[in-house]
Amino acid sequence: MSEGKLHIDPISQFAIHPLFEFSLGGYNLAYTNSSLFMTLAVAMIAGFFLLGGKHRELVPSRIQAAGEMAYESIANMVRDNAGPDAMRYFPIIFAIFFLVLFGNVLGMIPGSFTYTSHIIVTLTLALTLFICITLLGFARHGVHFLSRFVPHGVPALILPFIVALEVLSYLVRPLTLAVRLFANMLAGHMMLKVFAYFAVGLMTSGSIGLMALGTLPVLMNVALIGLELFVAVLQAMIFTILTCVYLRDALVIEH
Amino acid sequence: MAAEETPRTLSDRIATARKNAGLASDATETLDDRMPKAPNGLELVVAVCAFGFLGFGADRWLDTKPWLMLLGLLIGLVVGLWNLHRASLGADALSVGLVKKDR
Repeated sequence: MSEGKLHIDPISQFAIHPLFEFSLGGYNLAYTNSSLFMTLAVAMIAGFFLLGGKHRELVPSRIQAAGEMAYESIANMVRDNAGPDAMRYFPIIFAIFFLVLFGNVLGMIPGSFTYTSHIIVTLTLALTLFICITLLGFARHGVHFLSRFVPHGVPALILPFIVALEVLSYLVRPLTLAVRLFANMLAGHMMLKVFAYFAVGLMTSGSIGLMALGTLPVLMNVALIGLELFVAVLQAMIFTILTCVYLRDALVIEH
Repeated sequence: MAAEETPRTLSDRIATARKNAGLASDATETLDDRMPKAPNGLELVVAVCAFGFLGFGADRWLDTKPWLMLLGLLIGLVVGLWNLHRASLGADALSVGLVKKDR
């Protein structure tokens, strides 16, 4: 920070740095800080469930109870939102929920990196799901899957218009799914950083009055961290619930 | 009580007990149903931005500035509003809202 002038830079926390340079066939496949935190998340998820499932006791230990609760809550979410038929796709939904959740929550550790704050990550997840779910719909129902774009009870005159709208709004789904998660994570972390800069700027100003005033952004940040932890869990849930809803659409054609 | 009336699994028994206590939700109620039905403004923003951006790209490619971008923004607005309309009906499954409303 330059002397006497507050330089606010909330965006540099999202910069991707390569940790190991690696390229294959002209493509840059460097292992970055984003990759590191994804690896950490996967290792922690695997560790959590391996430890939780290690001693399968009738009276569960704390970690076993936590693992069972996590499993049950996602299983219920899939059953409630996508129907019992969707339970065969439970493993992928479970994996996605925890990948997003751990990405969001790991990002709350100061100095860490939030890989879900990058649209390339969320869009890749959303597009993969969208393409798989659409293919699943065609595999299940064949060409009849397209009938969901043709609502009943619409006058023939405006039917082509409505069908076009339905198709376009279907295509927007992965984008809204990706942007919702990415924007929430990005905005939250930027806000935390801006208030942290305020606190540092005021507390290093040298004036007693301003230094006292500097406690306000600190208090604000404490509240914001609570809010952001809630948002981290909520956004992982919303991402998963919407995936389930889209999956239900592919499995069940309602008319 | 006859043995065959006893539900087999714990979740069945809980469901029966909830039903008897008047707390029951029928099988079709989902977590999504219990969430607020407020339309999400993000649907509108994303649709307008996505189609506007597509139009912008098409304009640069075909050298038709600014018409395709304007068309894209308009389509995005209509699609976004359509999504909001459907969200406000509480119909996430495609076309369900229309079917229910018309009947």
